[in-house]
Amino acid sequence: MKRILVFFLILLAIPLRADEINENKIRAAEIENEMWAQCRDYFKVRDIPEKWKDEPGVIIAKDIRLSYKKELIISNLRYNYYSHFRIMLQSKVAVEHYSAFTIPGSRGRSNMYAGFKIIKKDGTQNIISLDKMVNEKSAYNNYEMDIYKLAIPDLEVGDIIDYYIAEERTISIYGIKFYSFDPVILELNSELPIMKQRIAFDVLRRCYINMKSLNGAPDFKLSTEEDEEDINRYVIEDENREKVDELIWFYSYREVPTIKFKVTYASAMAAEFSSFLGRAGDLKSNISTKDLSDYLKLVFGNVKAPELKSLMKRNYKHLEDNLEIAKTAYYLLRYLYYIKSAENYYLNGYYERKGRNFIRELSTYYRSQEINHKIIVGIPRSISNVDDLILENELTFAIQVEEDGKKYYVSNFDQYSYFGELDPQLQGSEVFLAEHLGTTIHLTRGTMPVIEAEENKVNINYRYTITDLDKGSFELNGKKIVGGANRAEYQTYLMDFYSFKKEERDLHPYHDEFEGQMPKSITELVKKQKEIIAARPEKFKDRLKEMLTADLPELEIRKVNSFNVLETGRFEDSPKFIYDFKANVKGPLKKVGPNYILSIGKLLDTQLEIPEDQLIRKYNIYMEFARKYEYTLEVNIPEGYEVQGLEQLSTEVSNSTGTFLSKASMDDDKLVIQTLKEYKSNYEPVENWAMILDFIDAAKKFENSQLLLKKIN
Amino acid sequence: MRNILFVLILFCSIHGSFAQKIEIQERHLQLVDEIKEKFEDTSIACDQFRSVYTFELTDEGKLQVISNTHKALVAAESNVRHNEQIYYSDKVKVESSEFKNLKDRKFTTNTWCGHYSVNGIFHSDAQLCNYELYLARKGEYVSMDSKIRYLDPKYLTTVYFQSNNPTRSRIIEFVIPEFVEVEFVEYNFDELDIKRTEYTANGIKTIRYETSLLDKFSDNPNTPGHSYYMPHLMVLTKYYTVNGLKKDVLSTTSSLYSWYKSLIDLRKQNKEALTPLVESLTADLETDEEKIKAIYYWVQDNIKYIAFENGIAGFKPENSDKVYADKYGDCKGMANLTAQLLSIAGYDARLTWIGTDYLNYSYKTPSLAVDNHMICTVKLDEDFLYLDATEKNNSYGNYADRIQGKEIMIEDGNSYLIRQIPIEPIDKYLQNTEVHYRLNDSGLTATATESIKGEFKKLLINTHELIPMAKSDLFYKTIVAGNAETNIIRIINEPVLEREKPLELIYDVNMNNNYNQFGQEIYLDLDYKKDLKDRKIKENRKIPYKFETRIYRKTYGELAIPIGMKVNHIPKSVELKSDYFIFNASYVISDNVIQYKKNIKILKKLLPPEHFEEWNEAIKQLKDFYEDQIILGIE
Repeated sequence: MKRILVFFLILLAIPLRADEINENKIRAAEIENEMWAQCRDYFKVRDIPEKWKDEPGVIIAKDIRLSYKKELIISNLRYNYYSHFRIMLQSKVAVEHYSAFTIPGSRGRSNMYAGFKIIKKDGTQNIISLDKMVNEKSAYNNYEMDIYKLAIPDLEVGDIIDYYIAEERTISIYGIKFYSFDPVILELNSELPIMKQRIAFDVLRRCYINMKSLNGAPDFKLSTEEDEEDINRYVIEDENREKVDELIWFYSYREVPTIKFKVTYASAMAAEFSSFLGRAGDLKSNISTKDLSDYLKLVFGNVKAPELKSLMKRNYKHLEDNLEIAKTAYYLLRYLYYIKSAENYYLNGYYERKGRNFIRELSTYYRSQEINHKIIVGIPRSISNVDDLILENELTFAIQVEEDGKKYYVSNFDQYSYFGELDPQLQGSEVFLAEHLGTTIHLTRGTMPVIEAEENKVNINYRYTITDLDKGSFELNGKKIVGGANRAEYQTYLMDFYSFKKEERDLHPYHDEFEGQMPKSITELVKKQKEIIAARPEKFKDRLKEMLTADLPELEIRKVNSFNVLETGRFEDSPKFIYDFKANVKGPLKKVGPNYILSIGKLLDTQLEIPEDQLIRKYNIYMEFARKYEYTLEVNIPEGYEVQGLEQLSTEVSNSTGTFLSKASMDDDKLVIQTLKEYKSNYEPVENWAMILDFIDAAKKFENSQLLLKKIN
Repeated sequence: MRNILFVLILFCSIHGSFAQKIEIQERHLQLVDEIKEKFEDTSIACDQFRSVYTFELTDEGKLQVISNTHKALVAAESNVRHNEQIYYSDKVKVESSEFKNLKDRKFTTNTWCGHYSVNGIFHSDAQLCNYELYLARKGEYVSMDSKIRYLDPKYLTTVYFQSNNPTRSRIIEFVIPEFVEVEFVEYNFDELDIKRTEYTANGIKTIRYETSLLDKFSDNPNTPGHSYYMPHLMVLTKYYTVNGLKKDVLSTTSSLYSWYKSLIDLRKQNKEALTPLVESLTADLETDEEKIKAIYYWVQDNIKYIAFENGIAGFKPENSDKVYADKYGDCKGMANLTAQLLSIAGYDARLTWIGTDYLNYSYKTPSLAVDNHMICTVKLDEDFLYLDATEKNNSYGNYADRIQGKEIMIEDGNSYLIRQIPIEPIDKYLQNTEVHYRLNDSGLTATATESIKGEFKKLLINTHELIPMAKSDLFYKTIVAGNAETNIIRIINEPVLEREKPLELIYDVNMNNNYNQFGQEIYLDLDYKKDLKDRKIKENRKIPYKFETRIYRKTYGELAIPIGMKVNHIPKSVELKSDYFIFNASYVISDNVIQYKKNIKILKKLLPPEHFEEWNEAIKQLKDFYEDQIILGIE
């Protein structure tokens, strides 16, 4: 005992040591030799293609090499990462960017190496001494970190910088039979054009490799270069890549040539438990239906849902209809996860999340009640197509309940989601549908529907009452009805635990408020609870004010007088999040001569404007979800004034990608304007970009509309 | 199993903070109520903040200063996460820091210590320790005690009253033995009730400053340097006597200069390395202006700003040949290189210290706090020319905003000269726009020429160098569009960005968003830029407002009134003037032409709080003018 204690005390007393870059001089020299003396020919190039002369910089050559090896005899894995870049600097911005480097220091079992050299316009090469590096030591608790900073001397426009940074890390696997290295996803394009690049990795033949090339990226080839026995080298060589800028509505992993891979070290026996692994030493580029099915058996087998079962039995055994049972179980499980014990965490300033277990428990329960359902197994749209599945952690799950020939989706699992919602990241995607059949899991293919824009609609009603013409003051009565996937943003900002605590506890009155807490703790929690509840009204008014300020930037939001959540939008039979508010605002209403100009378009939420440099687009368009925004705007017109210019407010632009329409009318002394903006789909091919711009442009033009309040003589 | 459990418990108790069962006392809740009355938005406040600075000698007879700080914090609401910091450097060491709870028991927090970057400095010895605090309940009370040692008293330059929390009680004390002479200069005491007491006992003088109910550091935008508005003391340690010997610290401005000179005398100047450059730059040039300009511009264009300010490197200029070889340096390095090159060229070039407009001090107070920058001065006959090579694309004979009007200390052998950088006339900031409007059946359009000089032009050149060429067009559109959308602008010419010439832009404007027809009347809004329309200052702001730069924007536009139309209404002119700004805008009809004239000037960068109301009223009137429109009647 004493010895264990002393051992721990010593362990705790010694902070992890941080060391230099290139500390192992012999190894540093070897790496430098590899990178520079023995580099491939494309690392000697100095000329840039004419087409890229106006780019701020050009990556002449880029090499990434990863190495996964096991040491002989000792139970250590060695993971090495080598990156080598050669970049032509054609502008001041590129020179500025590459004038300074920050590199983490060696630490513990990780050794860092680096080298930098400049090739001047006349071909002179200067190797930068790392003696110029400065070390900025830091420590978090006892964990020391070194950060090295290097300023590159004598760097000018027209120079080439050639540098490498490498890490060699040892991982102890003593007693470990299964070790998974971090998965890697690499895009072949970058923010600068690339003339030539090479990605390679060396893998111990006893390792398992999952690897896939996507979106036109070349496949990995097995190379014969590597001399070491027991090692395979896989290589991709690529060239002539244009840069890719940031874009709106862009999923780069779906468009840009990308490679993804993962390496796993495992004993033969341990490997059997992971169906995503192929044969040791072989590249696995596809996951078969059987592989997936075996994986799902592990994930969804042997799951118990005791509390859910027990509560359902005790309180709902009268239910007979399977659909009702399915819904009730869903909401009860949501209660158990997010409400039952959540208040304690909430009052202490953090919120518990439980992710994947929810669906496993729910499915287990459904099976026990023989509720006809399938597990939806897919990959988020932003990452990949399901046919390109290669890594377990790409997967996302949902449930499809089938009853009376209809399908009901269950895919969001948080405190705001309801039965019947389909994750936008699965909509329109190809998926697998998994069904338990005895001890096996049977897989079929399916396509998830795209939920229509109507279900993701936001209804906005703004009623403006002019309270002072000369000052341009209004009272704004607003109401928003938010449906579908649009809810999440509003709910997380305008609600908290206490917004739905009562409706949940009324529905599920099974546990005491602070179940499991000691009486003394409860006294303190109640005090905190009172304090937080007392502060809520002002907190939400402040948040709404921020929201209104962002949505209505041309208005001065002076004060939010009231804010009410009318419906929480947490159940499928009341699926909208609805709130109303009253605010005093100052609007774009200005006296011009005897009349007033009202910038009516500014009384609606600000419209999206596509940046000018994105008006021409090369890539397909991926939106989060199809959606609609319907506005009803009412403005009372003061006595003695009439509205002119209404005819300018009628617009309609509609095509297969979306719509913007607006119309205006008078209803006694009330000006009524209705607008509709619709994004019809969550995906459009790039050929349709001009059509999308049309209706977005129409909406933006509407925003600039003005009306005249003319004094009646 | 039990043994392992015991070890794990021991492990957990050594690291990280752990929740204590704390009784929140009624008096702490009352304290919170008291604090919330004055500072209603705060989640945490400082009950007591006390700093005691003790001057003492080391065993070796060196004067050092020990600062003992006690800070007691109270949570004004539940679940407060808060960070406290202690700052240190190579000359200022943290000797201890500890936290205690209400029961006076120590506890540990998650702590990060390391370097931080300030003001674009690449590397310095500036470091901080950051302590993460979690106060679970309203009224929870913790204290922090720290001990810091100033290894050299001249590095104790200023002491501020405020902190990062509102503070109920603030005390600053100095404990000074009789053999040490220290003077205190008080800044920005007007707004606060600060009591100063002093007493001497047993050869030790204690000076105490005390105040209460202080707000926290401001995080408003457009804030000047702290020295302009925050109450603080400048600590001038003049000298101390040990073993009968008087040792000067920084007793006078001469002492300050002497110390600076001792550092610049450490420079090694390598003429041979630099002479070929000087010869190549000045070979075919004849006049002084041409030669000086060539050298000055070369340093600007070829030396990047990368600053290493570690320890003494924060005060000693880098050798000029090293700056030349590295092609980077800080202000001291660039000033030194400029001076050396000019010396080789035969000029009387000198290093010059200056506090930029971030600082509100003068050289009358001999302290390391009074300056933060270095430039080069050239003596030409009896005149001085000031060259700041850190100001990229700055033209010869012009001075950057941030140094105009500031006092400088110029090296003059064993002595020094105090001068002032001239304040540039506002005309040097001119951004001149001439617009020709056209109104016809297809709506309202315009063609404009714009000429930009001065500080803004320099900023644009520097910004343009950092953007990809493909974004150039959007860049120019953004410049001329003002508050309008860029898609209404079409740049016609190929703008040329040159240091010594104004930036000229010619462009078309689609002004159909500024045109409406209602019945037989046409409403026109001719000003697409609407300068300063949203520059109202927040009503409850108490901190001076610092503009990014002085401004002079002049607009002249003409619209020929189409045949068959007459002017029914033109906006009423505005004419507003103060010591800080001039706004003139008017429409005038002359020979069937509507002339639009606008002058917007911001005369001084710093607007004091007592002028906010005046400013906001002026902005309101300007905005009202912009939002009024011309009405043309169709006859």
